[in-house]
Amino acid sequence: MPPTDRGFSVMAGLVPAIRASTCAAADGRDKPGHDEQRTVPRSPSAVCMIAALFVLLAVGMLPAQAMEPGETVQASVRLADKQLPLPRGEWFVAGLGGQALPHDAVGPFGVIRTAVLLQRTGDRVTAIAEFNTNDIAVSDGWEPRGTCESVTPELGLVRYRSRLDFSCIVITATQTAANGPPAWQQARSFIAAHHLRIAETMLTAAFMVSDRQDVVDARLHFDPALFPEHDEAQRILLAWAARFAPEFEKGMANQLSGPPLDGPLRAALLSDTPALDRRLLALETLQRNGIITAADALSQQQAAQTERPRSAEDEFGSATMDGWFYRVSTPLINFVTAYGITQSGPLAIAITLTEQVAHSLIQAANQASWDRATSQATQHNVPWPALAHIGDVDRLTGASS
Amino acid sequence: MTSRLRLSRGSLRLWLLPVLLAVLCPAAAAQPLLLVQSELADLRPAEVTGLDWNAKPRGELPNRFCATRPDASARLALASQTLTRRQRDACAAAKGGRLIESLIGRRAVIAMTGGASFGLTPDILYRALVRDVPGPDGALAANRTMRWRDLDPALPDAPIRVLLPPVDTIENRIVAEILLYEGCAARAATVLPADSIKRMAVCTTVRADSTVARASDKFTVSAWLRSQGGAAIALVGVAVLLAEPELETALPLEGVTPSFANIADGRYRATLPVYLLSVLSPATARAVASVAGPLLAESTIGPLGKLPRQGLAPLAAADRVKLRLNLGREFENAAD
Repeated sequence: MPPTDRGFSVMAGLVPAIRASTCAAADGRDKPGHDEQRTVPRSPSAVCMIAALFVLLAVGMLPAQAMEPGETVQASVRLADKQLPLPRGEWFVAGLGGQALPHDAVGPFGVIRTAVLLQRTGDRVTAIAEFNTNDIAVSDGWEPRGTCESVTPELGLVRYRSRLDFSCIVITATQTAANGPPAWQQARSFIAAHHLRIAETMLTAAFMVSDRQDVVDARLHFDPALFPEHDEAQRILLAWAARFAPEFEKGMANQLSGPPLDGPLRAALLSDTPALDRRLLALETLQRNGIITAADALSQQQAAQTERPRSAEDEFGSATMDGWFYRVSTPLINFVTAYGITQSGPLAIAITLTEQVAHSLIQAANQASWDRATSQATQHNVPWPALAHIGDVDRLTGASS
Repeated sequence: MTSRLRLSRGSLRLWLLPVLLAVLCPAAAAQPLLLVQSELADLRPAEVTGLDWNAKPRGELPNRFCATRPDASARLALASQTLTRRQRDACAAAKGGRLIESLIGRRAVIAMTGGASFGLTPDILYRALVRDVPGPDGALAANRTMRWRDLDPALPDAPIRVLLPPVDTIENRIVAEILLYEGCAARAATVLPADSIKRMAVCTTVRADSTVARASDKFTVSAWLRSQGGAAIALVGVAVLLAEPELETALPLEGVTPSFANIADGRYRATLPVYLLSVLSPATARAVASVAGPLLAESTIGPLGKLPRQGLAPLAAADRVKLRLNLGREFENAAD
């Protein structure tokens, strides 16, 4: 492992250690009673101060954290103070730079940092990692990425979308001969200088993740020659990307630890439900240690099978069906009730229609009011940066590193 | 004998205790017996203790499993096939209880490559690997094909280099009996001997030239693939796949990718099932459960468990949970 990586690992270990410490409870993340002791605000004790000093000294002694062009890295890299995950294997840092964005799209995030890393077998580039992230954290979240709006379930997934955070995946294809950000130009020069072969079109898993402070726009490109035929390749890549996406969230919180995840091809061979496998094993361990009963373990194992991430997008499902049922059943019930009271068909129809029209008007007004409130609430000052990516034919960006 | 005569009265009592127990409660005294097909002997989990583990050849295992009195001690078996109807009817052990045959996983052969992906079929593998194949005149002749492209224009224009599993493994049987024999039966049916043993030999005797190599402890599969060029393939089992993280690209067989899901549900054909056979009766239910419980635990047969590292391709998560649930109910019912 290169020294920089060792440094990252130590850092990654230190951050949760500090957070877990009761000394750091005042940062707002600690929960009272988490360590079975009451957490009360108090002045830092001498022990805490010494521990904090030790941690600061240890951090200060770490090697430089920024990756350097030409460096070989594994597991993750650090860009603009965020960890960015890499699939298993050695990656070569082939390009680093910034992106000069159109001035109408610039928010108070400084600059977008870009890194391009290559993975190769022999003289063939088998994968490219393209990372973009903001340099300075903002405070009110980011507009969701428009690319995810029209994604089909076969080619993408909106993992979640809330007032302040957002995560989506899109599977696409990338032309490697086309232009891209300055970091990609550096990588292309490296590829040409070392006579490496690269596929003209690569299979791409695009990850777009944002929280209140930061945004990560990452694309992992894979050599399609290693994959089975097209539809199967897309299916494998999307299934893998859905499992890999949480790594970006962990990295944004600087919480990446443990071994790297396998790439899509190997991961497809080992398990189709890695998170469920870990859960089943953890439940069994709890049972073996006498913490939960065998019946509880079995019932939770069964429940674990149906608990999975779903698209945050609206789907034609139970909500729609419930809506139709409600629309048909309500007038019917109203009519029967009105007829029961008035014993007059025309009068009952008139009452039902009046109620229905009034209800519809109130509902429309209510919906419009909610839409207005929601759209105002989810409008952020910072739009999603209009980035240049590898394969963007029409967009050339100047270096601004 | 002299030393036994010198035993003190106290130690004599110690010797007598297990003997008395064995006489009074034979089922409780004997250790449960787990018969295992010799090719599956590598699946022995270290943590299943207190068990008489006995490897038997494939042909002998059903008879040994069944040839016991219904009231004998708990008897289980790991086998790559279930009992035939005739064996079930004649199975004395099964007469004293309920015969349970549970699929607990599979053994699989996966074609790994260090280069670009291309499709394989039993026919291609047969014509690439077997010593004598039908020539232009239809008669069997020495196989002189040296490049993949000679077998199919869609294959890479590169030398044939194939690493086969070690001879005495179940993975090698999968290669021979499922891949090579099937390709042979389709391609050379008219020129094969009528005798089934000779036919199997003709169909599965592999070449001895540079196209074929055997896996060995002396080198890793990844290193072998790197040394042989981009179109070399290695036919490996799950244990090798898990042991070598560098192995990434698997080749589809008859258009089916050897993904976890395809192997688990049997769509990928280069596999053999692994069954746990047991006979449950009120007398043996607890002893059988004491063996089957740890053997079917998630930490044993799950993807993160021990047996996959020894070659078992796990079932899908839902099937593993269902297996434990159903067998648990069977044990409870039998014990009641």
